[in-house]
Amino acid sequence: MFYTNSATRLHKEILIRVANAFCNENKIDSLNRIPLEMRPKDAEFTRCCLYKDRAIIKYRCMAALGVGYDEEVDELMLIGDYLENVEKRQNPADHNLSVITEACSACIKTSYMVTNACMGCLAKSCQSACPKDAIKMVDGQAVIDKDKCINCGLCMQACPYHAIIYIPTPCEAACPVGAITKDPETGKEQIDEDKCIYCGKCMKECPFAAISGKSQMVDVLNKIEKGNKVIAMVAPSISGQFPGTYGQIFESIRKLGFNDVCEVAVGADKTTESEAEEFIERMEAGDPVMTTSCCPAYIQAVKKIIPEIEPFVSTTPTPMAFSGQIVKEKYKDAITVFIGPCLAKRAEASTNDNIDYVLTFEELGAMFIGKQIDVLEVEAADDVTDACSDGHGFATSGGVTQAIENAAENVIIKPVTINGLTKKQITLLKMAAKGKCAGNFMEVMACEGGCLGGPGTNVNPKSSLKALKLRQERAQLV
Amino acid sequence: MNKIKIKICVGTTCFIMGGADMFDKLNDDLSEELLTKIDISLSHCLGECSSGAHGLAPYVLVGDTLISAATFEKIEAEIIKQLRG
Repeated sequence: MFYTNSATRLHKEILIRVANAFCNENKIDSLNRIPLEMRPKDAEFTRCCLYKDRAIIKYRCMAALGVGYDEEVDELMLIGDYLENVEKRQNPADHNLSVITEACSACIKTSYMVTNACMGCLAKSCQSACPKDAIKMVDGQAVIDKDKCINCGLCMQACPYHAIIYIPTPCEAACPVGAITKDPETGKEQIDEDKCIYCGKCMKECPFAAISGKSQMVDVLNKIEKGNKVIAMVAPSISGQFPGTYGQIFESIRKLGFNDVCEVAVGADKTTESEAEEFIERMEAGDPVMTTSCCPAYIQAVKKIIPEIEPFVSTTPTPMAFSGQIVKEKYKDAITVFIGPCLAKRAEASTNDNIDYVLTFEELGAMFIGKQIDVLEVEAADDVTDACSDGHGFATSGGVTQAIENAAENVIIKPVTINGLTKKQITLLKMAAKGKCAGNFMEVMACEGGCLGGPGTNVNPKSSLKALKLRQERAQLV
Repeated sequence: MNKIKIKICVGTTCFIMGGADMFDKLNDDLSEELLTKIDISLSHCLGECSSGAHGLAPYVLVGDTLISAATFEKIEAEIIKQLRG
């Protein structure tokens, strides 16, 4: 789901303030002042006190610098103290998501709660159903003992008044692969790296904004500042992510100091061509199904959770991989930066030498603001694209299917679309690996709505889809 | 009766902080009756963030009243308030 709420706004505000501080003359001092500026004396606070708010803001700023919560060496170190290491490092931070333990409220200790609808009935089916003797009667109503409850849910099923409800833990409910669970000692969430697919769903769903990735924004700003040749590669989902025209957005990126801006939609055209050929070959060879390969969170899920589907996953390189090849051939020794809506692309980039850094649209926006670039005011003449309409279409659910249908002639395509990876859809993929699939072409996108619904976007996919459709109309048709 | 002018700031900060969706959201979710009494437009940067108050974006002008950290609910309430005079 896409939200604009106080948690998502806070996340963006942190990025903007860190980008602003980096662009300020006195970077270190500006960085150190962020918690004080956001929570000045006498300000309203959201946690127990002003000081805890400030402490958590510090950890958020560290994440925006690409330093994880667990990398804190000394609590006395200020935000600015980390900048030196960030500026010195040659490779970006790893792609792991981490829980800011201080910010996690360890919510929902017991997933079941007896509501006021409890009649305190004679039957007490809930008590009989409970295998752990966790239900006591207090003042004529049932109460669950949190220390004894094992969250089995039998009491809820047993209550004839439906008086017992299930309360999900938002991050755990959002995770399609069960990678985020509570530490049994503290109740705080922790992420299992052996399962995490970097889809970012937990990050979007946590109402306390306790989960964050490690940004590469400051690494990129630093490379540009040091005068390196840096090339931006923008994902097709950029349509609608910023005000102004396509041309104005590209010109704004150049104004940031990027030497050139390339469209990953051009790489998507190559993916279409290759994947259509591969599909025909596979069908001729008698394969029951082929799945797409462009969504990196899905690819992580294939590796970590559903390895049995791997033989059916397309081996065609992703649009980002094709674009990386093109750019590295055109600009020798250049630093390449993929800009998209995705956190899992950081994981894909870490295994691809042609992609040096990955930014989100949120981070790109923060950079514009830091460098005081108002996209609407930037003068830009051209509003053209080198990619086909179908290449742009990769950004939305159903888009890859459309492209392959247009490109693969003389073959019958029966598409199955997975629009957002959930626990249910993982089961569907496991079935497909056993040959039980309603179609022969599966398009898998981990985010609902496709890349337009990614965790690093600025705009509700409902709005950006309109912009994407306009872009597709203007792009050349094949 | 003059229509109330709603101006949604789409400077880069306001756009990113939630202004982007406001135009569609107002047009989709405000009642038909209210929509006939207002005139919604996008505005170049209103210059409100220059003081560093990025956390208070997006800004929206309802008539002469500036709304910070604008949400659909805040804008709707202000329109109703102004219509009642």
